[in-house]
Amino acid sequence: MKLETEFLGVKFENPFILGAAPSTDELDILRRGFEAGWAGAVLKTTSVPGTRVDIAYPMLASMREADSKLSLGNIDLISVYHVDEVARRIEILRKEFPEKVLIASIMGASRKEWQSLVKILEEAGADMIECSFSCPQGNIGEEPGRMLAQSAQATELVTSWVVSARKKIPVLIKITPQVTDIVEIAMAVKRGGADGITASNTIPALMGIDIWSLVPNPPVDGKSAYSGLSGPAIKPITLRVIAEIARYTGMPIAGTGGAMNWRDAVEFMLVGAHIVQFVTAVMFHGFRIIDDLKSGLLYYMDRMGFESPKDIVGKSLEHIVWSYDELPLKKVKSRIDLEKCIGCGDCYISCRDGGHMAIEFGDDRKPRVIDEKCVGCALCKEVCPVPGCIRMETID
Amino acid sequence: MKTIVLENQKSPIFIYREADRCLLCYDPPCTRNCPAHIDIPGFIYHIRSGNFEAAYRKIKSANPFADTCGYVCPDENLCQKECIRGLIDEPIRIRELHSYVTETLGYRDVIEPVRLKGKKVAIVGAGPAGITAALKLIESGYEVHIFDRNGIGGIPSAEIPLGRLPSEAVQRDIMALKRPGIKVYDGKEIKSLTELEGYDAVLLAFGLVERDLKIPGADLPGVIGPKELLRSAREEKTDFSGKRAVVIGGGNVALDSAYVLKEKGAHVLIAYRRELKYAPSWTKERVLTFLKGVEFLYLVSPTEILGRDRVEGVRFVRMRLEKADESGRPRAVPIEGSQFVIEADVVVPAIGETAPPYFPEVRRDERGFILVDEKGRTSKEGVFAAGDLTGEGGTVVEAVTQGKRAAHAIAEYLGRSS
Repeated sequence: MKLETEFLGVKFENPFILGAAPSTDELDILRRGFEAGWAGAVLKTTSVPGTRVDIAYPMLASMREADSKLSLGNIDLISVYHVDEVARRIEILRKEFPEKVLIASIMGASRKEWQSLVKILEEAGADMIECSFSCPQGNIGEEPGRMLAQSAQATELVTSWVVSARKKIPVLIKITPQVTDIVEIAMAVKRGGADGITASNTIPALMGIDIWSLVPNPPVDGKSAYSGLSGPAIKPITLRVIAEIARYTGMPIAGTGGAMNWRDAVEFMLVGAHIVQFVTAVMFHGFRIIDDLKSGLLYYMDRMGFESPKDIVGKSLEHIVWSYDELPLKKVKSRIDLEKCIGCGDCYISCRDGGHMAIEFGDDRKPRVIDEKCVGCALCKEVCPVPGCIRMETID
Repeated sequence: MKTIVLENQKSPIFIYREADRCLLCYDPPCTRNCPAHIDIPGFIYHIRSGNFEAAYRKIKSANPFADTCGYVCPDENLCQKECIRGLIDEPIRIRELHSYVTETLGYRDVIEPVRLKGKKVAIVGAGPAGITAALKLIESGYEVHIFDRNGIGGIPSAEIPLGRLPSEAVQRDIMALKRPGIKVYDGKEIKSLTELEGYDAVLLAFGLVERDLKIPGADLPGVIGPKELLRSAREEKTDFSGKRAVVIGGGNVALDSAYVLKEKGAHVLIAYRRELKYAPSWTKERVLTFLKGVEFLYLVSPTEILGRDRVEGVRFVRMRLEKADESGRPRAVPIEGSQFVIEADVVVPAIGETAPPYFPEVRRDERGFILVDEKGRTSKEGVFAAGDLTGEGGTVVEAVTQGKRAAHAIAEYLGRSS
């Protein structure tokens, strides 16, 4: 009960839903997701009948460092199921899972298409509409290769089409982080009359190249294309995007893009997300992660004394200044706890070659900070393998 | 020690994860504790980036017996002993990373050919010390003639049980000898400097001989020296099925002897005069031997080997420990009236080794080992020594290190005298 929240007037049993992806494109998979405890799902983006969807496979490539997967990239497109089939599925799910939030994701190529999609899906029983203005792989926008949400003008116009076509359900616009000024786009969404923003999306990227075959990943018979990058690698970017939109537009936000666990979700909420969508984490680990998300969030709320997930939303915004000029300028020095220090010398090497030569390393294998040379950059703290061994002291 | 590794990890996932754990320390204790001074963080960084060729070069040029050491190096006592990562969780499994590189790449020649300078060095003994010196000398431009009465490869190719060290690994290490400027005379025994006229320098790098068990019955048939045993154990036809074997001693040679006897079908007992913790053997070897099913008996010393025409048993006396002797270990003294007999068909005395009395021209220490200075020079000018016969070390990597040291001193000597 304590995890229950509300977003755009719709009740969510917890703030965690499945984002638009292959896993929300099949009834049986969705059913299992709901049974596992997810509060809702954005069904994979659909389109009007006749829209061509030619997905090239393989469509995934991951980026790894040793054992950890840092990110996933895809050259996926929207659902191969058109709106009639998706509407039918929403009707079925509506009956089977009355408590779950069903969000229909749509993409059209004209006013007529956008508006007919909204009407059909609202009638079918969708709780919300999410408009994909940002499939980085698609080319259905103003011009080939360009996303709708890369133009403020187009964003405002199409948003207003969608909003005017719905009867009462809320409209979310899913934008792209790949713009010069995210606030300009978010303001266009607001002017267009949308109820909220899904922030944000995968980031256009080249996933890497097989240096021996010269073909980038994922290789599609000797060719490849730019992927949509998702997963842990883009989390810091998503955090910035959510924070900027929250701060400048005040619009309600569904956070998505790189949250892998409850800690990440809490961070998204702290900068302004009300609910958090998961895709890559589910692709890596399955629906079962919902148990950890829920119990982790409960633990956090108890420890912080928050009564509702809503209490978390935006709590970190006041700690972000919007220009470096606003940062306090104080003397900071590195302080190394020699009791905890294991004597690896990594701080010494980093400071010597990548910092300010402000650390000495003795024959006793203990580092010593030379205060006169230390500018307090924290490189030593960042490379130190021992948690809590190096701290930065502010000197008044 | 937190981990005893009984079998080298060969999974690439393990290797990359292990390489990733390395802290790449400044002034790394692993390299300091490696007698051959392999640049360990350097080669681990190459593994991380998938640059195995460079990793191989780093390892093999610092340690020409790298393939062998990848199996037999006592990592727990050397590089991994003071690994700083061990202070966080567990030491990096350096030896297995090293072994993965040498195994994966197979044999590569890492020696840069140089023009020969017209001087010739004789090396007596083609074990790890002699071979290493030969390779380092050829890199300095000196021609090498290397002699060994037993063939090439020394202890690794003849006396380390195959279960511990596959012969392919040693073969890869030996392969580097096949190059212009190095001549190998195997099967040729040299016992004095007079047989080595015409060489500009001599390196003594031959192996040791066993100490005799000085008790009655020690010459009965059925008493087998560990060298003979270990060499014969490499032949398939060797069979000790149903035999009751007693191995006397507490070192690694005793453990290896017990290991191969067990492998060849014997029921094996190791008898040692002190307690386990004072035995001069490595934990890993003890565990391997124990898991093989060898039995151990401590605080006993043989007083007589019994038998009419051949070994029938060993008479032991129980020992007790008194305060430390000069080796730092407690002295074992017999308990009067505690004699007992164990029946046996085979007795292997593995009670230590010393240098054979060849080359009377050079001075020796009181234990019979050849005296060398900090550069590996003997008492006779132009004659150097490296390896077990100096009485230092005893591991392959230490022999390699002495071989490097002697080669360096020889090059210095020959450079000066030209």
